[in-house]
Amino acid sequence: MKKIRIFAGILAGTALLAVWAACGSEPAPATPAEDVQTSRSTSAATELPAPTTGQSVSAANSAPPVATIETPITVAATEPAAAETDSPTAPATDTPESATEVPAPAATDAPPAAVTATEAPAPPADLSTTAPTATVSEPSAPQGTNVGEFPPPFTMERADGTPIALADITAAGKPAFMLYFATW
Amino acid sequence: MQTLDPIASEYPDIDFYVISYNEPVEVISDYIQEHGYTDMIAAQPVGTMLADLEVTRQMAMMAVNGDGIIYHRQVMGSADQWGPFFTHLSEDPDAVPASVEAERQKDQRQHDLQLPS
Repeated sequence: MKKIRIFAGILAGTALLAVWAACGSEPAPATPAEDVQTSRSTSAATELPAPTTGQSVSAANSAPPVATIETPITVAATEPAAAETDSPTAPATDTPESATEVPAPAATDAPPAAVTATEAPAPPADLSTTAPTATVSEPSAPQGTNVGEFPPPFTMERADGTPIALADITAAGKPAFMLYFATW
Repeated sequence: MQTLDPIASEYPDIDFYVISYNEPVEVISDYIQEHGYTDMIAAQPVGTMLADLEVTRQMAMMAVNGDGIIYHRQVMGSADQWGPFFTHLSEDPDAVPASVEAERQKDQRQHDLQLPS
């Protein structure tokens, strides 16, 4: 009988504990592994497999190379080497691999951008050299009888019978003035 | 010719030809020598010169520069207007009229703009 009372008391105590735990218990303190997972999800913004506690802490230490992804391409072209040198210190998990895989395309894309940047100024330089040659060539005057035009070939004759052609005036390079008149 | 003679004397770098439509060149030459217009040259057209140059009215004037390009044309004008033209031609035998030069510069600018960029 006495054993029955003791057992009933134990049951009652456990029942009270169960009720107390179900109604008013505080949440259990988070484990270090959960803290690391939440911090990584907000900072790195990459989905990583849930590692063990020890691995997650070391992955959090190697997180800065992942953050270098946000830097400009020109800087990222040089930083992957540093990320690769830092990664061997971290344990062989999926996190360092993903950190090294992401900057790799940026490193391969950077050299073509640099090549195009060096090739772009070349065409204007060539045009600047060809432009003066185009300006040197003077356009020939059109043929006609108006001012600024080259007249059709003509010939006139002096009193002594010497012919004077347009070609003679041009060959001499001396301007000529012609006055045409009539008498009555 | 009386008006043209002092101008011809002022610009020896330019040849001044006097060409008659209807008078023989010998008559014009004698007239020049008689009046002492020694800086002018009497000439007569050969062939279709007048038609080719579209000289259809009397007292027509035409000046060509050293390259043979027509610098000035005028019909029945006053000799007082010729001074600047002759000065320009005397200083630069290959000079072209200001209007033609402006047109050339305009064409050159358009040509430069049409170059591939």
